[in-house]
Amino acid sequence: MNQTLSGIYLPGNSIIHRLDARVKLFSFFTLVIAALFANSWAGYLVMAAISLLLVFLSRLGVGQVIGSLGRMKWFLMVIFMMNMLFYSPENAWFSWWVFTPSHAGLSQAVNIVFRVCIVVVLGNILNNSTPPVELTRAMATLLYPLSYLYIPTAQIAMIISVAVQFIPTLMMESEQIRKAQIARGARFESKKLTEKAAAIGPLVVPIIVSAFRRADELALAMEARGYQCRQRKPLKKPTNLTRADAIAVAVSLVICLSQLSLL
Amino acid sequence: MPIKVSDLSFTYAQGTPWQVGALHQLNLSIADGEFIGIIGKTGCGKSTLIQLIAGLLKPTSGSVSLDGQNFFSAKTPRFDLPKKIGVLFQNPEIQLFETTVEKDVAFALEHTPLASSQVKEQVRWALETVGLNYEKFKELPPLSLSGGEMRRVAVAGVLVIKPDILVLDEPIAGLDPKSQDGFLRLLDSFNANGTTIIMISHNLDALAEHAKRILVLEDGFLIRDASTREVLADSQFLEKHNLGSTQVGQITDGLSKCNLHLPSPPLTGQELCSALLEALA
Repeated sequence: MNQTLSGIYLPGNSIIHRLDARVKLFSFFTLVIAALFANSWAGYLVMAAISLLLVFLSRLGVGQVIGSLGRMKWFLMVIFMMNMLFYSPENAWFSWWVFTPSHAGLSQAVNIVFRVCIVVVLGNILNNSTPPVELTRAMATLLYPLSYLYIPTAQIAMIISVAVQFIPTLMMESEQIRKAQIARGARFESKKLTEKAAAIGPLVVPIIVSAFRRADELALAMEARGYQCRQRKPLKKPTNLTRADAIAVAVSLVICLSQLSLL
Repeated sequence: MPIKVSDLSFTYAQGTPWQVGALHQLNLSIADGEFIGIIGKTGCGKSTLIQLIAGLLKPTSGSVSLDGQNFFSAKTPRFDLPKKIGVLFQNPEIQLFETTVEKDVAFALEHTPLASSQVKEQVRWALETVGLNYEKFKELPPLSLSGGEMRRVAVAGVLVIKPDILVLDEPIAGLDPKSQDGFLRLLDSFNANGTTIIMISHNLDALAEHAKRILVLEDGFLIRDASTREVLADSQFLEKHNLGSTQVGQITDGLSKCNLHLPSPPLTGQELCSALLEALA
């Protein structure tokens, strides 16, 4: 792989990297809720400032964290246009064919795009600063209370952690398949859209086949080693939270509550 | 098409925290019709080297030229390269995707100006070359075949372009001994017809029998480039670099421990037999 992916873990020693994964996950969700409920210019400003502050605290580099927004520009553009052009036929500036752009539509479009951007940036900070294994363990811990409601949290955690652990393997295999097909004349690098589209089959079919084969083999291997779907304590060793962790939880809760009260 | 590699270096994930230098300042040239074996420990850069030679990776610095033309440093997409380098990866059966064997094997001919009757002929030839009956297999879905048959179909899908250069990454790993033998014989016959073969293998016995020249890589450096005899009969060198040894080499070492010294170290089973007969006579 010759390029960095936006959601990948980047080792570091910043204050954000050192926070407990459970705390980061909890703060992520509270901040996402805060971003989704932000509904005023003051609220937007606060959320943008917090996201920027987190980017600097995590020392990940603005380009790394915000860069993925650039790659999403077409997606963002589409949701912006959809909201602006179709939101409300009332008080439209003008009406042409099915399009009814209006002031309400514009503000709704800004609203939605802003929220999506904040969630993406927060998600990048979380993924870039936390090893996937710690993240899945944190998920298992946070889901644990649901096991009292007979929700199979251990299994859910197992599914997530197996899936996460197979990402590098599947990526390597996709890379090999891609190269093998290029060597046989597939035109992934072609500038022509039709050739690019035609090259997808030779890539996607073998990847799906191999993912299913791996899943089968893994299920067999797990059964052979005596895996049973029974509820177990998911925690290896609960590490103690530090003062920084407590502050992070408190700050994100305060932000979330203040956004909710600004409603 | 002679290959020339000059000052070739390659770094994975350059400019990221995972940056790894895979090859450093490699120089070598490969003439037409050679049979070259590449050996070295896991992670020493063997696969990277053959992918660079096949134009699947672009050099970080230095160049690979084919027929005197440097295709790889320019911004040439891979498909504009001469269509004459076949690449066979380890476990090539994972590259199968089409609905029938015939279509899958013909995939590499899709962008060639061949007429459909010629394509058919070439697919038939490729399938029969790997020992599969064209009429019997052409309509079958490749993903429903047995492991061994899938491997053969994948090999046919690479051979179908009648490559001038065939690059192989551990092609015989996971095959049963008889299939290994058959596959190596197939490579020999291609080589006899002038195809350049470049093969990575951990199987030193196979290389001793078939390769003419061996490249030894260690930590991304080319540490030895010599004839098969020179490299594989040098048991001190092999031991020093933890490369293992051939079975014939082990027998020769065992014999010399029993004070039976053979005049020149044999390379293959046949040579061992005649050397033994000579020594015992």
